Order: sequence, then C-alpha cells, then structure tokens
Amino acid sequence: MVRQERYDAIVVGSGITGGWAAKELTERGMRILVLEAGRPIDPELDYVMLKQPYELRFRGRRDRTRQERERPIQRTCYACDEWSEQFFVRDDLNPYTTAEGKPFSWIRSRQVGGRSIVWGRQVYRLSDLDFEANARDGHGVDWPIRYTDLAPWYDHVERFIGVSGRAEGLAQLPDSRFLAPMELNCAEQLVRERLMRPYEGDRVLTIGRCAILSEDHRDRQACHYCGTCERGCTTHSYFSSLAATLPAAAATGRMTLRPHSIVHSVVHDPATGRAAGVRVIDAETGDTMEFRGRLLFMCASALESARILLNSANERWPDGLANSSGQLGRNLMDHTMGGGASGLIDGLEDKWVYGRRPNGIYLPRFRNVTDQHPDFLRGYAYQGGASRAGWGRGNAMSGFGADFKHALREPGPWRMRFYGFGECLPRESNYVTLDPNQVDAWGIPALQIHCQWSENERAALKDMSIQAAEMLETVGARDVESFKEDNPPGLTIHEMGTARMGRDPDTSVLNGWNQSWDVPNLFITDGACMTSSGNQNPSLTYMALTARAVDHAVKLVGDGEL
Amino acid sequence: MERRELFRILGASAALAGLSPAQLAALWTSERPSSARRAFFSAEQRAAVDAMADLIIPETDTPGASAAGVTDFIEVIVSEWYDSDDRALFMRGLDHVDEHAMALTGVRFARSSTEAQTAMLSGLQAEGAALVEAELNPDEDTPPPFFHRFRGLVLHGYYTSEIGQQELMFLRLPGRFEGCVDLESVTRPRPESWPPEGAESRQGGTRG
Repeated sequence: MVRQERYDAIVVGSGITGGWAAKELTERGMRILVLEAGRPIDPELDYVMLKQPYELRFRGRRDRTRQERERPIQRTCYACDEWSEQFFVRDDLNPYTTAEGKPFSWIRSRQVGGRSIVWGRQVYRLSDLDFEANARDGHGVDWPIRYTDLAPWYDHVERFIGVSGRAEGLAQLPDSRFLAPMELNCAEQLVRERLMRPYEGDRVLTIGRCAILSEDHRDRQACHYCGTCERGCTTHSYFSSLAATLPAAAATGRMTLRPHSIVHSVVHDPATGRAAGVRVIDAETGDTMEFRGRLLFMCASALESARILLNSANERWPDGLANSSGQLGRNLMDHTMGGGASGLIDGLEDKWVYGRRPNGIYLPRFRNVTDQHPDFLRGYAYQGGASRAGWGRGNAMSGFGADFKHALREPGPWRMRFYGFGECLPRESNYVTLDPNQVDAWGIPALQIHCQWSENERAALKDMSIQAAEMLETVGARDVESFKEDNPPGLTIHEMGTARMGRDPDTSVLNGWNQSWDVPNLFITDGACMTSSGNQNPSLTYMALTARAVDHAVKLVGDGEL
Repeated sequence: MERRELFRILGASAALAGLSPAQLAALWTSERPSSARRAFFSAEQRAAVDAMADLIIPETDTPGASAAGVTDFIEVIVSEWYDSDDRALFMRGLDHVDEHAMALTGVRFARSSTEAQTAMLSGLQAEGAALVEAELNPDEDTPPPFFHRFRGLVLHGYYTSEIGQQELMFLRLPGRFEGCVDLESVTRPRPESWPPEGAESRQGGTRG
C-alpha cells in the first residue's frame, strides 16, 4: 500500500545520525518522516539506571542460558548485560552470516534512539592527518573534504550535544568546543606528569573527551556520576538522539516518527532517476507499505544502510542501488582494539576518588604523526585509566573470615591501564553481500560479511602493547603486564566505509556532500560514508557530516535542483 | 516512593545535591527478585551453605553473608545459571563437605563447632590452593576447586546485596566527581584492631 502523503524527506534510522538529520531538516522547515525499525523507548519505563544488582535475578551475571539462545553475538559486547540487553537486537531474529574463518561481531540496536542509547560516548575530531591519509599512502581513495570543510560542523554539533574535555592544542587531535573537563584521578595525573619529560611532550595523557555533561547544558542536567550510562540516563546527562536531537525535531511540529518500521528497500523511479521513497515492513503486523519523499537520508548504520541498498537492486542497478562504482558494501572497516598494558602505581594508598566517572583517559596518536614507523601505516590511540581494585580481588586473595572481610572494605592498589584503538586501512576485499540462503525474521535477505584484519592492523596492535608497557615502566609502574587481545572486527562497534565518499563517481558511492553520485536525492550520512577510519571514535564525525549534508541538501532543494 | 516521584526529585539538581546518602537511599522502593523458583537445596544443604558462607563473610560490626541472603543467591546460580556439569561439580563438593564433617566430627558441617568448621574450611582452601598451584598450564576449561568456586559465589552474592552495598558505602548517586580525595573521607572508620596483625589477607590484597 502506497501512502499518499509525500514528505519533504524520509530519514531511515533514529540513532545518532538519524536524530541529527531529523533535527537539521525540521529546523530548516522540512516536513519529515523518521522510520525506526525498533520499538519506542520511554526512559521512565525502559531505563534501568536506578536498578540495583540485588533487584536482578542473576545479580549482573546475566541470564546465561537465555542470552546464549537469543543473543549469542550481542552478549559479547560489554554493555549487553543483565541491565541493558533489552537495548540490543535478538540475534535469532536478526541473523547474518560470515565467511569461513572470518568472524565478525555485528553489535546492533533496534529502538528509537538506536545505539546512541548504549554508545561509548567518546567524541574526537578527525584532523587533516586523517583526511589526507589515503592520498598520502595510496590506500583507499582520497577524501573529498578536508578538516576546514568539517570544522564548522564539528563546532555546530559540539555546541548542541555538550562535550566535556580539556584543550591540548594538538594538531593531530583538534580540540572541541569543550565544557569543563572531568578530573583526572590522582594516579592518572601522576602518570600524565611523569610522561611529559621522557617523551618530550609527545605522549599527552588527557581526560577523555566525552558527550557527557560536566555542567548543565541547554535543558539537560549535569552528570550525577552514577557511572553506568549504558543502562540509560534518566537525567539525559549523556547525549543520545532520544535525549536531545529527536526532541528538538519533535518541537518543530514537522517530524513524524514511525517505530516498528523496517525498511526493506528503496523504491527507485526510473522516470526521474531518483529515489521515490522506501518500502517498509511493519515489524509488528508484517504489513508492507511504501512511503514517498523528496529527499532520502540513510542513517541506519554502515551495515544496515548497505544492506538496504543492496536489497534495492533492480534492472537499472543489478548490483544494488546507487552502485555504479561497484564500491557499495566494500571497504568495510572497524577499529582494532586491545593492545595495551597495565601496571601498579605506588604511593597513593591514602587517596581515592569520590563518585564514579563514566569516562577514562585518552592518549592521542603519536605514531606516524611526523615520522614513519617501519612496520605499519597510520596510528592508534589509548583509552583506559587508573582505578583501585574492588571486592573482586578477594577471589585472588588467600583467606576468609573477619580480617578478610574488613580488608575488602578498603580499595586495593592503584592500577593504571592503557588500552589501544587502532586505525584500519580501507580494502575492497573487506565487503558485504546479501546471503542468498538466509533471511531475517521478516523475510529480508541477511548480510554475508567478509572482513578480516591485515598485517598492518596486526603490526599496530603489537606496537600498542609494547609502547603501553614501555610507558608504564617509564612512569615507574610496578608489575607491568602487557596484553594483546585477538578481537574480531566488528566488536569495537565502529563499523564503517561501505558507501564511501570520494572525488570520482567511478570509485566512490558518495560525493563530498554525502550525496549519491547515481541517485541525487539519496544521502548516506551514517558510518557507511567514511573514506578512511582514523583511529578516533567516529560518532562525532558522523554527526558533523550529517548536519553538513542536510544543510547542502536543503540548499539544493531551495535552488530547485532537488 | 514511586519512580515517577523520584524522577521529579532527580529533575532538580539542587535538591539532589542537598540530600544525604541516607535520604537518597530512602528514595528507593527496591523490587527484590524472588529466591529460586523452587527449593533446590535440601534443608541440610542449605544449612551447610549458610554455615560456610558465614565463615567466609562473618557478622562483625556489619551483617554477614547469610543475613545478606547469600544462600538464596547461590541457590539461584547453582540451579538456574550453571550448566549441568558445573551444577554436578558444585553439589558433589557440597555433599563432600558434610561427608567430611561426619567422618571427622560425627555430625554434619553446620552442627560442628566453629573451631572444627574453621579447620575444615582451611583444609579445603589449602587443598584448593594446591590444585591451583599444580595447574601450571591453566586451561580455562579446568573448573576451579570447590573452595574457590564457593567463596567466589559468596563474594558476589554478598557485595551485590543491599547489605553488601552498605558495607562498601556505595552511593547510588554521588552527584559529583572528585579525582583525588583522602581515603579516610570516603571509607568507614577502621576497626580498632586495624591493621590485623600479620593477616594473610593483607598480603593478598596488594596483589589486586
């Protein structure tokens, strides 16, 4: 059934980019439809911020047997726990396949607010070190934009979402518009100071830059430091689309938001060469319907947007809509994670923290900034932090009884930990297709994901581990232990690149405005658009690109071009 | 207090900052999960779990493990969370405790004297520690010795209970973050006997 009403724009997805598309479009006078595959979320009912472990049947150990049945993949994400598993999809209803020997963890949410409800909240700008990276070393294609193109949009987004952090003046990691920084704790401050001289200012340990309010901001309240954001924040102190952009869009009176609306495919009008709208399956009733719009914004996540376009193949576009370049679904990237080290910091036994800071440290990229490492291209950065051990250390102690109990009242030693996140090179050989033999619970073809790390990522991961240990030795940490985890791609949940931007329609899916070269009223502004990955957490860049793309699209409408 | 009411209070940060921890704690009406869906432990097994849990986390100036409902938690984990292999291992270990007590003292573990209980638990710990020590090539699939498995459940059950959170002076809504404060200002006063003379646990504590 084709709905008669034609919207100025349809936005597919209500997560971190869908929310921004909704806000920016409606504030420019557009009447829009936001389609969300999942259920509505009511913070008062669905957020479990206040739920204590003793209110849970398994006290935070998760319902093991049910998770193994319903969420065998999602449960590998730290945030998919006994409190928050409701914010992740059921794998049994949402299957995907991988190639033999190439595991990939696709961590997904379907709900109003998308993954912005459970995201890690870390926000970092890319710099020209990143935008010029592909052109410099020849991997992938050149970004069609540079830092100056995006800087005003970073400003625009940051002013709205609220970013706490500390300005450090580093060229490779431009400062954001910051609210007050959260404090480093005693041990982190000590490590920061002790790194400065030996590394001549090259290793700057700073407080994490995060979309969590350190002070009241607009109509949202400062963080109360309960420490477990992924359970949902009833005071909206961390940014999510549900907390901020969707309410702003709703306030215009020009947004219709339809939950339980799974976009099956894009409807292409051969007469105009444009997207006419989208075909939708109602997740509750199974009914199919079509919605019409002048503009179409794909904000469903890198893999889901690619899947929808691949599933929109027709006679004109046999390999997927808007895929004359053949690059749709290719160049899938995620960040590596898990090279690092930890060690004990002595001398602060009489100090502790007050409150639970939902944020760690950041040590920005220092590799391949001014020189070239012999073993790998690009770079990595560390997150992590220092903390004192809690009651869990009792498991490694000897003893029981009153003294044992009283010892566990006090915090254990300070441990400082560096945990690296590394850049992934774009490669055509990391790609997704539709699996001809697998459909999801609504009959939509499932993705088959082919993705693996290369030697470059592995070499950087190794260096993360070595450098983290060396820095800890340098600052005088004791019992330093390095580690190198073997995480599958996907698990960092920074998947991107499946509809890259570029300068040439023959080698890219999108132009410099996130606009399809082939279907001019189609914009893709989620992680699919990324031409390279940087090593920074990418959501801030997705948001800035979305706002910039909307501004351009609305101008094109005004100019009569769309 | 209704959740809705709580949100109203949370909506005013000034009000939040002005509340004492005790006042904040009073704002919650906590829902408690039921104990195991059906009784899994026999009365004798329950008594042994109670007794061992209280030896590990005894009542001192604060309540101990059994008062915190640790036995109910262990029953849920063993009966609903463990797979059949882990369940069988746990129950065999638990039954062994009573058999051992019968052989040694003529009565079940729960009825033995505190001295005898402590000696038996120390023996179990030493036995387990030797097993861990011998496991030079630690295989993740090797189940932990009974003592270590049991103590791990007691710790988890205790410190995630309401009593355990009070023991740790856990604040649900700290309201602010300070990165470096004096330890004394955020922990309870130490007992007069602190630090315990030559306590084994103290050494272990620095291992983190």
